Amino acid sequence: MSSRVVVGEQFDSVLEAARSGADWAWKVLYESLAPTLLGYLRARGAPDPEGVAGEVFCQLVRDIHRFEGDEQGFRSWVFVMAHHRLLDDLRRRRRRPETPAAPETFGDLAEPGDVERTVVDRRRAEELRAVIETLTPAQRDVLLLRIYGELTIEEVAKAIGRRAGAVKALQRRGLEAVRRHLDKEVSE
Amino acid sequence: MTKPTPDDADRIFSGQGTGPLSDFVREAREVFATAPDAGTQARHLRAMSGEFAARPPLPAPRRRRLPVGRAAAAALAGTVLVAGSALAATGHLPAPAQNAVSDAAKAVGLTIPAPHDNARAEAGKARAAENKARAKQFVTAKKAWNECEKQAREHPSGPSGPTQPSGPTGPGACGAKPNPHDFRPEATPHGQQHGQEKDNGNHGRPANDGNHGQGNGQEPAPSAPTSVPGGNDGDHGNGLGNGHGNGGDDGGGGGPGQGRGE
Repeated sequence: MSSRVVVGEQFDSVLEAARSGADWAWKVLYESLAPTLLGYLRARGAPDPEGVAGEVFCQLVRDIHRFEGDEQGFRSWVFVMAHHRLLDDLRRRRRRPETPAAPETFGDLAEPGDVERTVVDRRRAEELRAVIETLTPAQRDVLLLRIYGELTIEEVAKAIGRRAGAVKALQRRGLEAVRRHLDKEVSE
Repeated sequence: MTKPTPDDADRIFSGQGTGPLSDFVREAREVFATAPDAGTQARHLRAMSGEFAARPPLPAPRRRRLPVGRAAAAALAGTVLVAGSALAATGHLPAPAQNAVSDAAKAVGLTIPAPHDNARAEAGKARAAENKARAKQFVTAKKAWNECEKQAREHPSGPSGPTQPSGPTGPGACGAKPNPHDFRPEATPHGQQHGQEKDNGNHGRPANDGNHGQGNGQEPAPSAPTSVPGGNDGDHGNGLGNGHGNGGDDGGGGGPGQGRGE
């Protein structure tokens, strides 16, 4: 089951309308990409995922005239952009350290009505984050780009600047690490 | 625990697999990949619209223009080069340009005539032609005079000679002996006279008239009528030799004795 929203056959006309500045087209593209993009940024531990996502969408507007391809190519293009933006953001924050609160900390501020669900989601998020943090940064990049961006091995290789074989190895070792962690949790 | 194969991985990431890894992927998507709240979405869309409005105009698609100007310039340059080379090779450029091209070509081992070379050659040719023409005139006149004199001697009151319709009646009746000085070209600068040495009409030939010292009323040597202007007058060579060179002072150097047989 995929969580992404697909534009489908209308993609070409939506892309053309977006290039000409049609707000409705921007909205369609945004809604099809924003959830998984934010998911990737949150799972990757971005201190300000919404801020980075905003930068990515603005860059998308600036560079959309350069893009050529189908919807999957477009998704891959945007996730590569997001990956680089996130690395820039993390690098910038390392130079000027601050201690941001985890994004899920503010979940109850966004939807104050369902406290029970919020607490459950926060707990699940913490558990997932614990699993993800057992991975090396490279394994994390590969698995999260595969999970949220649904990028192919080759697209991931291009995004992180490695060869496809190396990406496959990182993916295999990352999945093994996740399984080990999950087995350990079960046994406990 | 078995290692996940690439196919397993594809199934896991597509959300179609079963097992703890597939559950992990599904859960990760559900928990983190949620739509932004309405406020964030509105803020992002406003930023995108603003970014689009502030974006510099896209560069117009570059049309591949025909490089007319460049082609014309190249054609002109080619024409000038070819024409210039041809003119330079034939020595028809203006003197300063010809000099420059000649010097430059010399530096790379090519021989392009310098303007002065060409001019000198042309002048020499012109003088040679003029000398030849004058020499012809002189030979014709001298031949006619000799005939006339001969007839006058043979028939003191006889038939008319070529120069006098009524015929010569005695020595001196044919008029003045043709003087080579009358056929001599006007004086030319010394430097040019040197160049004329070759053009005097008998260069390299012996002065064959041998009538040096003639003109005193004696019959000319038999060979005189066929002599070339370079040395047949017996006065000063052919007199056409312009002062230097033709050795004409004494009848052309080679022939003084030949004509004395008479």
